[in-house]
Amino acid sequence: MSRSRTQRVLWLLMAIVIAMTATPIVILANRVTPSPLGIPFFLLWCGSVPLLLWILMVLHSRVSSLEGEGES
Amino acid sequence: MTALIGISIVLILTLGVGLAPAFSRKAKQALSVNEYFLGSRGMGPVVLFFTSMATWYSSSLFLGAVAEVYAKGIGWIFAFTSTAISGLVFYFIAPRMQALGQRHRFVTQADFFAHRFDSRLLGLLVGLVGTVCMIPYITIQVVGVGLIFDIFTDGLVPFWLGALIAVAICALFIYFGGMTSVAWTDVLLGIVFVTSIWFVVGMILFDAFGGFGSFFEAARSRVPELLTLPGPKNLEWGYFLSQTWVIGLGGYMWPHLYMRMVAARSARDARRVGSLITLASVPSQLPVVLGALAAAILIPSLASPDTALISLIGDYAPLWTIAILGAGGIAASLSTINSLAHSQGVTVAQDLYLRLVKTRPSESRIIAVSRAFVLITCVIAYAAALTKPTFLWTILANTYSGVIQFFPLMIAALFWSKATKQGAIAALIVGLVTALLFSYVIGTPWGIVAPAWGFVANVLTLIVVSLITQPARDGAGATTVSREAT
Repeated sequence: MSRSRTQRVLWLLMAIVIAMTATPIVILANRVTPSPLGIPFFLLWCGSVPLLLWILMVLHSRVSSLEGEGES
Repeated sequence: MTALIGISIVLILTLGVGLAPAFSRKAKQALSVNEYFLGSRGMGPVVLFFTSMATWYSSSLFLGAVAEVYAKGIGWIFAFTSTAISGLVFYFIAPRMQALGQRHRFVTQADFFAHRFDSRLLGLLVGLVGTVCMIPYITIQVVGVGLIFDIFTDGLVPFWLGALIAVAICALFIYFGGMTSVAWTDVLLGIVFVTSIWFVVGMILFDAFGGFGSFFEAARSRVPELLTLPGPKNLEWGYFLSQTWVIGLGGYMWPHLYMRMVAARSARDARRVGSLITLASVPSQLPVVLGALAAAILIPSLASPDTALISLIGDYAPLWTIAILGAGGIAASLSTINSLAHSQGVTVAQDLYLRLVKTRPSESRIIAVSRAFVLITCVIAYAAALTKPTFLWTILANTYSGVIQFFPLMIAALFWSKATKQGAIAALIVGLVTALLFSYVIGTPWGIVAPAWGFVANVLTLIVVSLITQPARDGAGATTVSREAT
């Protein structure tokens, strides 16, 4: 896969991750159970979005700097 | 008295760190505008990250968010996503702003918009909206710091004196050190805030519940209504979602936060910081949620939910931890007051004063004007805070009606070469008026907050008016900036 295509895929994944808590999709997660690691589901759902988003941003940053866009 | 020790240590350290850059400068070395306004555009990733984060988290988190979760449940955790989105905005926009700012010597959004749209009027409007929105913001922070002094010292340091001490310390180091002092104090205060709140909340959870697992078990069985929406106060999804977007997209449009984008040392640093802001979203705010839930389980029906965390100390944590919590509270407040007051001085000097005078004044004159407005801002904020205006909380929420209007303009300025100055000015005005109409006249249908309605009106106006007002040659300069940005 070319780097620019990888970047586009990463942007799309970021949009999907944000949609998990910033669109009505979040209503599906509005529940206490199941509680993985004992954490109420809704709290875990909302708390995991920033972490996932950060991973995607780091990957995007790596791809961008490989392409020499990091300084643009 | 115990809390006063922790608070005093933070105040003394803040003053020391804040004044250090001013006194380490050689006596004959004059302070430049670039240094006073933006720390010579030399902020590395660590300082940039802490100054952005510490400025973002304020006494509203320390007092207001605790009360929100205690009384209304975890609907407040839209803040996790909104902060993460703001990190993405920073990641996406800050490298471009840094590069453009470096090239064209932009300091504020007004500089950028005035250049891109070739409109002095737009620059003035943006400067004016930013200045007006920051006044209630800084006032509420001064109210917060006064309350923290009053609550934590049990009235030993009354509200008026606590607020006065905090404002005076901030004014002093901003006056002498400018942005460098603000940024370094933010590093100190950011570390103090996060470590202190995690330490105290962690102690409470282990003392009262024996650990995180049993704490969540207790929460599920004793306050299940607080763990989902709508919660006890019937929070609407429209509110949750619209607030997520308004704060996420509008957060870094605040003049004081925008200035951190252009103060970055390099575009690469700016991008790194964007991702760190997203990562730090949960660790910085989760202890507040956990502490408030613990209070709801252990001491339900508190008359003043603002004091939920402090009420747990004594029974569920050693008394001396109040000093650490007090230090954290003061750190959260000071780190926002300093940035707001500094930014207000910069905005007035750069966006209003420099745009209204005919010939460019000397560097020392510009700094003098900026310093004067830092002091004036502190005096106004302190005087307004003394009235403890209750309606200010409503006004504060509505200040996003102003700053969110800059976001569509910024995206269009960077990526849409067809955006015209007429479109930008009309969008700013229509968006602002619409948001105010929804705030004070129409209300908030489906719980969707007023700034969100203003945002939609802004985008539509920007597109329609720009397309109608396409001049043959107007696009030349615009295309240049759009090309530079991409």
